[in-house]
Amino acid sequence: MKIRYLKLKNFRQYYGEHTVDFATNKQRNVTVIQGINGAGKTSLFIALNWCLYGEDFFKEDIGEFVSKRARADVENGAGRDTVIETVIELAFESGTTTNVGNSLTSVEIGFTYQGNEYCVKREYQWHGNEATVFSVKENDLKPYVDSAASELIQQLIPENVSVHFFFDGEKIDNFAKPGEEQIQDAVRNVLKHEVFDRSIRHLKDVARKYQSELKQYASDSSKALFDEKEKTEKDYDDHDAEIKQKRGEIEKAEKQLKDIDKRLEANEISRALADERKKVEEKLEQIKQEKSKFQNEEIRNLLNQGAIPLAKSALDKALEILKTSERPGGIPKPILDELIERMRCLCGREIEDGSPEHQNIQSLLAQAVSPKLEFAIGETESSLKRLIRDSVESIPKSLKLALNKEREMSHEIETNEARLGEIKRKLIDFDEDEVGRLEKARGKYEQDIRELKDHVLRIEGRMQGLKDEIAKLKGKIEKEKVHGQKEKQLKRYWQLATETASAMETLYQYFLDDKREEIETEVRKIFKQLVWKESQFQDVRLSEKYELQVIDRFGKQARPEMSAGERQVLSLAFIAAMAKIAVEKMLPEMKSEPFPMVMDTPFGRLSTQHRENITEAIPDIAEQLVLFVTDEELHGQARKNLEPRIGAEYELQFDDETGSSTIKKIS
Amino acid sequence: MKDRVREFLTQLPPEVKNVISKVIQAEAEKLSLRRPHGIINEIKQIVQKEVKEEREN
Repeated sequence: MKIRYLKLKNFRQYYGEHTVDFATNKQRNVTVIQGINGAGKTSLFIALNWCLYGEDFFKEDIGEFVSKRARADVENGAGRDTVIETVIELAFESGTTTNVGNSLTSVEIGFTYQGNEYCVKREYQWHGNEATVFSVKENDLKPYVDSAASELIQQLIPENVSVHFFFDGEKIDNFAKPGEEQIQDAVRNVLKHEVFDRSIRHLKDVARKYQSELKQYASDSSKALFDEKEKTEKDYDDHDAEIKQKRGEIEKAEKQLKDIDKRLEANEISRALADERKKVEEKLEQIKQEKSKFQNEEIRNLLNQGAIPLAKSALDKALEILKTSERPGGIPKPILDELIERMRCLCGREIEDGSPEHQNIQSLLAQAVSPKLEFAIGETESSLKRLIRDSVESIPKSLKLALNKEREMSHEIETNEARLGEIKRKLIDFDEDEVGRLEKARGKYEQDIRELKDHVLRIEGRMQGLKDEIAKLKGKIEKEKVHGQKEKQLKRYWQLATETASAMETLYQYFLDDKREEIETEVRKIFKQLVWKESQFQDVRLSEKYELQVIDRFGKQARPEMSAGERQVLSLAFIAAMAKIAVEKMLPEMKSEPFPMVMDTPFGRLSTQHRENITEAIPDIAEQLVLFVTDEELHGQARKNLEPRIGAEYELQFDDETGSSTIKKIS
Repeated sequence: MKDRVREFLTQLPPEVKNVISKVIQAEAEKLSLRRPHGIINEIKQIVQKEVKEEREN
């Protein structure tokens, strides 16, 4: 699939008609759309998704689609009877553009897919009442309309596949943060297997049905166990539903927080402080991760060995005993044995039986120990010496140093947190009402997110307890004796359904593990392609918990120390890998079909060095690449690197007076 | 993965294997898959082979 063009009419801040023709050339496969914050990059991204999937695609409120200016024209000028329209057209390769016509707002997309040309168009009309018309035209055939059109688009580009290549750039950094659930969600979504999901769900339903039937025949004690199990299962399900709801609320609050940050960054008065806050937050996060790693690894290791210094007096005593213990006169036992056998001294003199020399050798032999024991004593002695030198004496010193380092980190965290507090106070106290109001709202969302995350943690803990309780109750029920034939049969069926569901869950896990390795291989390949040549990283792994891990050249996990830029490179590799896997998994018959990659501000956090390397490699991660960038993101060597691959370039210009954006073609 | 799946399936009681095979087939049909593909097909084939061998023994 290659996107040919995107045509907008009165969509958000785009007043009137605007068209973007995307680069479709194999060599010059990059389309660059430049614009400062607030110029309308995100609106173009929203337009692509709105055109293909409609309003329901967006989880959060994305505001009004219709250009305010166009609506005002109609309301102030032509009156209520005038037709107001928003049109978005999206065309793929050489498809015919649908006439934008009289709609108020429309988006049209043209694209080529499997050799066919498509023109997708969503129009919003207002005649006093709202109406949306959706149509897809395939080649020169009669257009599919509304539900038939939606069905066709879902077959061609299912929503859960498209999210992997129409990529919301704001999420880019999140993928590389440790413990980030977005990775798990993305992997789960792309690997979701309907047959497994349905089989497990239905088997559990069947087990519940048998359980409820079996309860009718059960003894009082069994009934009580069933009641308790059902109650615990219900508790578990309620908690599960609650956790999902809370996660949704967290996602919404985080989105609101990001929107506020964007607005504070776009406002000249608050820009400097908002930018500083972003940097301080990044720094703070990095130190917190370093501190946590330091506590979990180094300090824990030292503490695990912490008891050794306490044993110092016992070790000294043991060493003293070994040193002062009587040894067999320094002559090893085999030599003494030989002297007795030969009855001749080492100097050649004969030893007579019963002579004082003979008695002396006999006495030495009585004290002598075997060579093995002799060796072991020697080894023990040197081990004790080593232990005293390396641990007893050095552990307190190392522990002191480590605790000092930990204190320094804590101090750095406090300093950064204090600075964040200062920034917040300054922003709240700003003379301009808008900034203060936004900052207050931001504080509220921050607090909500903190509380919601704590709540989720508590629920997770309770759910684990309930899970253990359910397993215990199940074990008890299985041990209960059953008597009647019907009861025996029901119990067997119940057990069979439960066991099969559990077996299917294990098999599903095997499948997920296998696919995880596939994603890992792909991420590794792309990461190595994107990362700079004198790399200090040797490997990338996707852990069993779906955490992205970068292994440094010393074989240790490097991620907590990675810079924001390095994390972004890792995220880009993950995104590109997921896009490839998503297409292979969900559209197996389209494996060879090229897919575009649309990315919003992908270089935002990259240092100059990373940006230069990425711009060299990124055109190769997809057959068609559309980049929405700010003017600061693409300049110098980075721009030079990308230039030979740019097939089309546009600049978004925002007019403060009219509140509208225009799209200007540069090349 | 095939080996891991096979080893796991070998340890399961024959009745459980039978149900797995039937459930997979039924769900694949409900999803209008003409025949289960990929891992699901592999599981189904391993299960069927095992059930057959157990019956013969």
